[in-house]
Amino acid sequence: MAIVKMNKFSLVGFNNDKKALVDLLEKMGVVELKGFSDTELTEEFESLLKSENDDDNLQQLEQELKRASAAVKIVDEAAQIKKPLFFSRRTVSRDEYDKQLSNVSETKEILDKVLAANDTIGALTSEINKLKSDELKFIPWQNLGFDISVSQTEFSQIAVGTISVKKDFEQLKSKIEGVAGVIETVNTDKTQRYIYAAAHNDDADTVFQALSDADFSQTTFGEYRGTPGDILKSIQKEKDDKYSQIEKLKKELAAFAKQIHTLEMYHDYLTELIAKSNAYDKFAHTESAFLIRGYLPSDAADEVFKKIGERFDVYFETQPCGDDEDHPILLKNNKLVSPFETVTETYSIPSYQDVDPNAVMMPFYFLFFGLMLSDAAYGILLSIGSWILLKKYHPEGTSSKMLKMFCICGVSTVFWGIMFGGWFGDIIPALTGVESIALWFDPIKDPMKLLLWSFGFGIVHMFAGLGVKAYMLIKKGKWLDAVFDIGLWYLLILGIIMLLFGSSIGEGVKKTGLYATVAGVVGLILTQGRAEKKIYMKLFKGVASLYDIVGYMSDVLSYSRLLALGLATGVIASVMNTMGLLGGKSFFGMVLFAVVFIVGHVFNLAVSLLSAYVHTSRLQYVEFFGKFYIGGGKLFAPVKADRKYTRLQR
Amino acid sequence: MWYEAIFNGAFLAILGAGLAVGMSGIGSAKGVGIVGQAAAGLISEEPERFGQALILQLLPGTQGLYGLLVGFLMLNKIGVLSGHIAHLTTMQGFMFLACALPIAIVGYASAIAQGKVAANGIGIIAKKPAELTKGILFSAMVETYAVLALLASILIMNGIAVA
Repeated sequence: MAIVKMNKFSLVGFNNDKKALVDLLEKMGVVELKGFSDTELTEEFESLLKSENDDDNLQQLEQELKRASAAVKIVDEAAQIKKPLFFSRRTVSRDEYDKQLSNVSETKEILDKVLAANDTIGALTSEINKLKSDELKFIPWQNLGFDISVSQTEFSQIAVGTISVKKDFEQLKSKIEGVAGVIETVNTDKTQRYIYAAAHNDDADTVFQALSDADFSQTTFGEYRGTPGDILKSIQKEKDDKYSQIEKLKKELAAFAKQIHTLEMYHDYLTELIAKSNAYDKFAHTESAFLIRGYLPSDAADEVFKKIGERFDVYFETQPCGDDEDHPILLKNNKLVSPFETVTETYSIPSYQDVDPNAVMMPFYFLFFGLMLSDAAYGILLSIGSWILLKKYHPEGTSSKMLKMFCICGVSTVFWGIMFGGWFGDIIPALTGVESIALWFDPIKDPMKLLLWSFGFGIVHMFAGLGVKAYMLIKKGKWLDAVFDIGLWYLLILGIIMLLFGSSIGEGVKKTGLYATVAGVVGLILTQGRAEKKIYMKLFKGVASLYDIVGYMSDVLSYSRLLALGLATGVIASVMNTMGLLGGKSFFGMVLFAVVFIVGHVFNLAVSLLSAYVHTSRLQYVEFFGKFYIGGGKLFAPVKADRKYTRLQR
Repeated sequence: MWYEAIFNGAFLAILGAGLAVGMSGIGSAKGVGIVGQAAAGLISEEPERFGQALILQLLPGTQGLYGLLVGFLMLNKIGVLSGHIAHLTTMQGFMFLACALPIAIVGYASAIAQGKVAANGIGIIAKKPAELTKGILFSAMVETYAVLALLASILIMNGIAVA
């Protein structure tokens, strides 16, 4: 129910056992290794060397991992394997995994084939693109009846090319009247006239001079031979040929879908090798022995060292980390609280000095989320929806935690929906004409009441945050700090509240409030400057600390969002209902209602859900964590492959 | 006379509702537009980030909803929705107009500011998709002020008595 206690350890063993030890550590996955810095190795452990530099091997592995992950994607795409909404890994038994990977040469062959086929497809595609652009070049010439590669015969010269349509073609033709030559149009488009010209050798100069006067630009066709019509046909044939090659390759790739699991396992195997290679990097060693050190959860220590001791000749020392010693953080909470860890992790990992805030935060998150969404029907949809997704897709990691969190928060949403009478907004009163079905009260009719309650919830939330701070101080033995820095603020804030609102209960309450306020103010002035040496500085700091009251005020006001967002959900839902009911009770009206109701409420649920998540998180981060949280810890990172596609059975 | 119409209470109140919906709507349209442009750039390279980008684009859209909310409550209060428009004095009309101003003004400005933050959040999901929530939270910090303005508008409206 908190931050897991960690043991630190150091262990000496023989180099021969190194590989087997790392294999064992990876299998257990509960030991984090802490590397040695270069200065430590040279200064503190003079005779030790860092583990041999394995960077080349690591680079190769990472290269291969990239290839494997590309291959998986290629086969997935070719076989059009559908991706589920939430990805979950395939469960594989250790035996199957080991058996499959005892012989990777076959898998490597598949990998090579897949990537080669993909490369060929790429090459074919670019060839097709080139053919397509050639095709475009020939299309205007398709009516030309002679071989475009012939530019001269024994007695004549021939040219094909274009002139602008703006040039006067008749004038051009008139220029060569009477000479032994022709200029004819093959085709015209918006900007160009496609022409050919032929002339007897004797008159060639005259004809070509006339052409160049008209800014004739000759077209060349590279290596192509034959009439444009024939060339177009052959290009088409070549294209079809290449398309069918691509189709064939794609089918071949799709056929690899049968081996996709093999490829995925190979991918994960590479991840494992990389994790181990990174672990080797943390070893220090002499010629025949090595030294490692690191952390592991205290509960697991006995078992882990027993297992290691059974198999290897090692010497080790282990002891629990001290309270003020930096160590990696592992959180352990019960089923109800652990889904909310994602909220904290998004903000920051707790540091070793923190207490795990999740258990205190969870009830408030639950309460506030429900207040902001506050619609019973939405809550039911949210809980059931996330539950179905969880059961159907078995997601892992953050998405699993988030869904569980929404599933739990849905319950709170239903509760507040019933209290405030929100079922798809005001659909029940709107259809039946009942005044209100709120069990407690309708916040749209009495927003001030909910506003005051929001402030009340906020003050409790803030007090809880301050309470955690006090707990942290007391745990360190700083009793006086807890009383001065937190107890006095409790006194002052409660005093002010009683002073302001106490008169409705009784004059005595108000009077007590006054005394408490005065005591709080005086106490703060006297104690808040206690770190200063000079007396006037003590006093100045004490008085200045009262300025913090502004901070507390603005924190409390920030909780007004509980009311505002709750109202937003309800009112927008009502807007949807009002729009839906505009059609009246006719058949058309019913259809309109159904459409508007479904679309409108799905939209409102989505937007309100996002708002509720974001703004509840904000209240935790700024108003709650701001009171005590240090953060900046490092998550426990044991030697363990982060397998992407497979989950190994224990 | 035309100036009598301008000082008509019901007209002023409806003008207020229009401003609440219109101004915050313009702001949201601009904000959503800014994020949309940035998102479209990302999607051309990484189409699979569509869902994440859409969430960010949605964020500056809430101001428009808050404006609609205030407008709706106001129209409901003066009876436009039920068809029996209450008789409002010029003073009451001006009060309704004033009550629309917080969400109209703050909604307009904050939606644009929020859009800019969310557009930069698109950069976060381009480089580190896992950090999407942080981008969302930065953007939500801006929205706080729209929420406060919404609250002010609602509380003012709640305080205006209509016979």
